[in-house]
Amino acid sequence: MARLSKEKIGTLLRAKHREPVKTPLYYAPPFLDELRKGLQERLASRGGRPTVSEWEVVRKTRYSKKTWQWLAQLAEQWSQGGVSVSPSQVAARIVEAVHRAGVR
Amino acid sequence: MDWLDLLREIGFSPLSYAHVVIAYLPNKDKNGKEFDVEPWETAALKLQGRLFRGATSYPSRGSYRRSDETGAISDAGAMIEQTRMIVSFVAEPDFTEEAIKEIGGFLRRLKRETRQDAVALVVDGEMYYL
Repeated sequence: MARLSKEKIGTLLRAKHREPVKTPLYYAPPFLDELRKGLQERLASRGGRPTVSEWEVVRKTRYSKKTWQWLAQLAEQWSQGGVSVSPSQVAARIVEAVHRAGVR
Repeated sequence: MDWLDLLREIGFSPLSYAHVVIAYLPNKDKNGKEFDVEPWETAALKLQGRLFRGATSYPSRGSYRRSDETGAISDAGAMIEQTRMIVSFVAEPDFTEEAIKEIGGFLRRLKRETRQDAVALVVDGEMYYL
């Protein structure tokens, strides 16, 4: 079946008007909420800092200051009302989600 | 280059779901009177779950300029609402003309029965006003 055009979707919906929504952040809050929830559910402690059991490889990675600040900010938000999350764990969770989503 | 092109440029390939559908459910009528949006939220979750194999709702606050379904602004004020967003990630085989029509029918019923100037649905980065 051919992909539906925007015009066709508008006709099917009987929409009176349509306009593009340009910003990708439109989808970001639900996406990040899902990542946070998934990470909080999988973090477990065996005496040390809580971690995800299948994350077995440990590597040092460099970040830009700007990126690290963003990760730190997310980690603080994700830690509220649950297990403490580190900026690196946020990064690992995002990379994991992107990989699972099908990036080549 | 829009953001979708940018994502393709940096190596993203098509995902297992091909479309994003977001329905916006207001909790106030066109005169600013609140109503119970929860039954509509449940109905939307059931509908989108059946049509698209899944749906997730998010409570959110929104501010909106009053406008009709043609986009014309009806007054200069902004209305604050407790909007519910019903989000579905949809695989291509489920993205059918019948499914789109059914969502449209549901939103028009919401518009009529809760006395809205307009209701909105986002499909793949395009906002449709009904």
